Amino acid sequence: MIRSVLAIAQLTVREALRKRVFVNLAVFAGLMVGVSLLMTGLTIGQHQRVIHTVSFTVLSVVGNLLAIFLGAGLIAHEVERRTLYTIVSRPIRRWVFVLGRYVGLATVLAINTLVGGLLVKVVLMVSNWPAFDHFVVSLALIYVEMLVVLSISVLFSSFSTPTLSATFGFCFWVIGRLSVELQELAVLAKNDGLATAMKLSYTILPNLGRLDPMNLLVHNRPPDGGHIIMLFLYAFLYIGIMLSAACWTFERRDLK
Amino acid sequence: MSVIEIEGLKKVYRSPFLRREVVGLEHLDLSVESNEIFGFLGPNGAGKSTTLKILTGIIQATAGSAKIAGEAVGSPHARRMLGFMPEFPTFHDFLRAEEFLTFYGELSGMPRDRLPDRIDEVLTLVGLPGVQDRPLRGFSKGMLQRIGLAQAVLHDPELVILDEPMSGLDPVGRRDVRRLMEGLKAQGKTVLFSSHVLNDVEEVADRITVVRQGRNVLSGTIESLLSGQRFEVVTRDQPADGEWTKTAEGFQCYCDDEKAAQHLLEQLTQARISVVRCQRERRSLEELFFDDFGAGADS
Repeated sequence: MIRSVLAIAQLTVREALRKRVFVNLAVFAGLMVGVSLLMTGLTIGQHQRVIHTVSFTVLSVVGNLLAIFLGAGLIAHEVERRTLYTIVSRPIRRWVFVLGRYVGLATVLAINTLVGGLLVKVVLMVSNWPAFDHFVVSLALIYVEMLVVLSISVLFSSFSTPTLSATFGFCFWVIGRLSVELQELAVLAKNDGLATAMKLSYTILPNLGRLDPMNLLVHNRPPDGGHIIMLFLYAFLYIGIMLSAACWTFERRDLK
Repeated sequence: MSVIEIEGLKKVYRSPFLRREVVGLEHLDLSVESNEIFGFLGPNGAGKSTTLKILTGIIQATAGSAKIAGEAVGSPHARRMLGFMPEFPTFHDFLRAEEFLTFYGELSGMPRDRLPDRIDEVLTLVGLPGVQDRPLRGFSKGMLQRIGLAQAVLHDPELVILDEPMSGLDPVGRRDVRRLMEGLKAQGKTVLFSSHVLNDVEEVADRITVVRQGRNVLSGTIESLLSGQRFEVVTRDQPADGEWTKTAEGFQCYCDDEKAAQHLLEQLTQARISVVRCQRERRSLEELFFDDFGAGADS
């Protein structure tokens, strides 16, 4: 089974390479160079903050959009184009396909985040600006958020069309980013129904705001190791639930 | 031994929200024996593709049972035994031919060291030698059909299921597919295929079944289904008695059954009239199809 998962993951990475998904990195590199040239009038501390804020924001937004839109098509496109017919008739369980596709796109996102991070480092080095102390932890948080968003997209992709999956995935990402605000609004809401809906949304939706590295960047304090581990555990538990639901749904689905 | 056993198979499609029901298969019974080429015929919407999709695990039956070599369809063991090419196959066209077949070999659990040789072998078998490094994106429709056949037979399955394997192929391609099926049979494999090209079915199939509205309405060997009751007798000279029609070969007459034909032959011998041919009338599959299903039948 591991061999089949890896074969499907390799297919996904190859597809991303051949369809030039990594072109976004060239745009990102250009943006970083442009921002660094514009920063010449600022002090060292300001340079560092602006470069990191812009690069982390762009890496996060682009990575999550990739997770949403590529994730939405991971299964749904295959169903629509009927490329799955010859795959599911092989001696593999359908969850192998779901897992293989997820692992493949997670690898693509890892490469994207890693190369993006290296580009930021290079820009900082060339400009003789020091890198932010918690650079690696921040990149890891950005990447884990992408993995959560990807798992949600894959779940929708297992039973819906690519367009609907992308729409749902996008909504979950945006609301997930605002989940802390949802909790606060639930306390303030005077309507009981609205308060319950907000509490329910807060409970079900992933708390993506916690994975935002800007919290570390603003305070520039050493991250609490235990807190980071808890965040990762929470994220991986959420991913596990989403992928299990995706596999369960896809195993029972008729492919028309 | 039966390779495929289907009993009372039923499939009802339900629309996702309205739950409106469409019956794809009503009650299908079918048995495909080992080492035969079995043709699956029927008008559009009769349930052919639905049956093949159930057999290959693409969809699940609503009721009834379908087994491959005694194992329930959909189980990995049953699927290990089969190779499948769907109708109008579409593949990951960003792959090169060798990458494409390697991918399917990996999914089938083939030994990695055997793959390169086997890929060369099947590409030659389907008439695509030397295309290993070409991307599928540049393949013609006929080439895609052939590479689809290559992935179906790559892992040397005992049962090969082909949904409309001749569609989109030119006469040479159709002949090659027929030869491929005959080759598989010679190797002891079983082939189940659906087709709209009745001449090809007649030429290659050992047995056929015809489905209509989700039920099989006709099954049997090609010989038994196409052989008629009547006998055709052709003579060189015109006999004195009976209704004879002049043809290019001589004079032709039909007898209702074998006994009548024997009686006529005795009379012709006594009258010293030489007989060119005396044989059981045989319809073509196309004639059978249109006679039994009406002119409106769309195979």
